[in-house]
Amino acid sequence: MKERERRIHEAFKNAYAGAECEPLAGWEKKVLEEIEADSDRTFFAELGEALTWRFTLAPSLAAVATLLYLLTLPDMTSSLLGATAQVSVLLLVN
Amino acid sequence: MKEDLELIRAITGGEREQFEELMHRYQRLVFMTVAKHVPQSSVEDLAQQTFISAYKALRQFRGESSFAVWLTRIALRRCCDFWRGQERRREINESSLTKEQKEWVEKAGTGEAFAGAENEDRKHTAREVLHIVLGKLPPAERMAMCLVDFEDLPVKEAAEIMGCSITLLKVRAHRGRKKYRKLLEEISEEG
Repeated sequence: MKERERRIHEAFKNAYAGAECEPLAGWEKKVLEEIEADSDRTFFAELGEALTWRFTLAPSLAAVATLLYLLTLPDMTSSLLGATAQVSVLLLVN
Repeated sequence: MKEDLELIRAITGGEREQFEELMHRYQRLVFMTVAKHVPQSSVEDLAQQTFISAYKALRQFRGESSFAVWLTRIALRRCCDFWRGQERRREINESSLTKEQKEWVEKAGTGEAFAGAENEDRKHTAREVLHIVLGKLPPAERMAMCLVDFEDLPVKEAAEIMGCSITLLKVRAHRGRKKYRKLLEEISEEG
């Protein structure tokens, strides 16, 4: 690099280091809004997950458990009673 | 006044309104960091994106470095993203220098432009010329070169920020430097 170019480069480095930009009033509004929206999204996502578990996965598991129970026990009456108890317990747990 | 870490714990614990305090503490740092890398018109937007990213990643902050360093890295990553986006719709900046800018180059070449007593107008002109020159570099090369040569960051850290390997970072910085020197030659003759 020639002397003249080196000087221009130095002046550029100084301009670079001295770059300033003062935040304008109200700049943070968008950030706060986004944070608010993100919190709402998180809340609804968690609620959605909980509802999915409560109304889809838990009953499905209960149904599978009931079926297995019915298949393993020969006495139908006790099987039905046992299955009902299992479903109730599963739903209560969840 | 709460320490940063204390404030962060409060925010991640659910007191999200405390984030505003954190923003006020570091707004100047973020704006200044971003202003070095992107055009003036995009500074505010990128500063906002930096704080949004920081909020979302706040739980990952372990306090291994200071919050300022952690936040600066996020700001620089957002600048890299900005230039990556620009690369897709890149327009070659063909603008030549104005009379005033040529005068500045002339004075910078003789060592007169930065004698420590530059007025605001001259500083503004210097930044304009710098933006014109850097604007002619491919974004990835520009960013790599700026982080290493202007920001004086270690290559490893610059590579982490840009999300690339050290080798690629070195290649990009080298190519950027080569083009930058060529541009310096050109404007030196123009001025």
